[in-house]
Amino acid sequence: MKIRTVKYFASQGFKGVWRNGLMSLASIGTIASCLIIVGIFYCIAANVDYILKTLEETTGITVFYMGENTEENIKYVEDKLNDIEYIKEIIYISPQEALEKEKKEWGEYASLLDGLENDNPLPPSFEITLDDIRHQEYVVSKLNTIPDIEIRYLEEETKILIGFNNMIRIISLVLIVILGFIGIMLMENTIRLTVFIRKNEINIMKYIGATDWFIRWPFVVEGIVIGFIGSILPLTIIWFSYNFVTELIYEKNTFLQNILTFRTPEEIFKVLVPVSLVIGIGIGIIGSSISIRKYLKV
Amino acid sequence: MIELCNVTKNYNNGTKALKNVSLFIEKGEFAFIIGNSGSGKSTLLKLLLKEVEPTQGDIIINGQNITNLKKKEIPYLRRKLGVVFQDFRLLPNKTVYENVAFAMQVVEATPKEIRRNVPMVLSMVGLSKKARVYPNQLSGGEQQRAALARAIVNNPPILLADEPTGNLDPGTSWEIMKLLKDINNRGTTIIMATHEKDIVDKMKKRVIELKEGKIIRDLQKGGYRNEN
Repeated sequence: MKIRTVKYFASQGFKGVWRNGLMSLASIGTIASCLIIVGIFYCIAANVDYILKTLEETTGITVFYMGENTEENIKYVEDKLNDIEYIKEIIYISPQEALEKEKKEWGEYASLLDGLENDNPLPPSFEITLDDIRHQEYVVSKLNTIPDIEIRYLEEETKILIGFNNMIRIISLVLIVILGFIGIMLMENTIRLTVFIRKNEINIMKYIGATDWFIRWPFVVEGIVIGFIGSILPLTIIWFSYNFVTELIYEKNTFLQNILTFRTPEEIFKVLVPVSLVIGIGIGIIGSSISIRKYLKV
Repeated sequence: MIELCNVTKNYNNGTKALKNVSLFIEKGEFAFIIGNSGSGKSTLLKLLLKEVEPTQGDIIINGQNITNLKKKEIPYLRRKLGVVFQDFRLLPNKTVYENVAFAMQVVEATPKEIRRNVPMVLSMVGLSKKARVYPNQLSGGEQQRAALARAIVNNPPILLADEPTGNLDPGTSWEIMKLLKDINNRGTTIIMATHEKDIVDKMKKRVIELKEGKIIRDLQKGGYRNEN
């Protein structure tokens, strides 16, 4: 394809967008609203995921052995733990280690714990980290079959987070499909208008010997331009609001800062920019292709 | 140059437009296709342009059998055929120059070629002074001359004219015929469908008369009526 031909396609494509002002705006608007929803839900899902990951790394499950502290018993429990799937790591903490840890945490009051070394009330324990927090329920059910142990873990919190995350995924998927469909239909109508306006021109082009693709390209370009504007717009809006909202949450809830860590906008946009462009331009191209195929028997 | 071998065309609605038509037109010929409406004139031109497919028979243009031409190849066939219509079909939002240049853009000619060829054909059809004018400011004859310029700017070996004088008064019609004659004299094969008795009689060219889808007369230097 020659450069000046590409220039011709581009100028015709842009003219088409401009000429169908209102319809183009409607198409851009639908694609943009579709992508805003994609963006918002992606921001939430990515951060919930991130929080879950942090939870996985920092919390895990603590198993206390309440039976008699003998080497044999500890070995027995450890073997049992090793048999359970989805466990990434098991760290044994002896009562002595546990006491030292407590002392450290108590800081200047650590002296209050003096003298407990000989009659240590703390049970031996295992810190378990999982490969994925979604397997927590399964692992806990397995742990409950081991005698003489007590388990401590964040049951409700993880359940809520996992549920929330799944719900967001389902809602965003449904919305994307619906809005994507509307976007394609509106695109089709917009491009159909251009096809109609240029009906005579197309007819003449066919008689002169224009190839099918020579006739199609300007419409495809029009679809791409609309899709591109439709994806840049929501990306800009989300960029500014993401920074604004995360800062606002940090500011208002200083105590949350230790638990809640948000992804940086850069991390979010590394995924969101290509995804939005692909969806936006994809809708544009699909919509225009449908209308050309339907209304141009080239 | 153009050959039809036993060509039959039936439309889906049952119309039998052409019945077993065979025809040979030599390179550089000027042939009139005459006949009443519904005689099959338009179908003949449409077959040559590959707008419709023959039901039976073969069509050969420039030594190439176009009967089983792939869809992708049709544009390249059409580049060998210039076309003019009764209703001119100029683009209203383009000047005369742009209308002609557009035909060259479509076949991806270089800007240099466009700058050289467009003024040349415009001067040939006598529209040099109207190059910057829009079609709605032109008379019918001038519009048809612009359409002719567009049809020949890519130097097609064949020119198809579908009632090119149908919308013009007699005086203007003769200007167009004179131009067609000039184009023909430069070696372009011309096939012209028409109703106009005067023109056919005075041109003294080959006349092919169609009636109900059959060739009923094919005369060199013929007239519109048999008795001529």
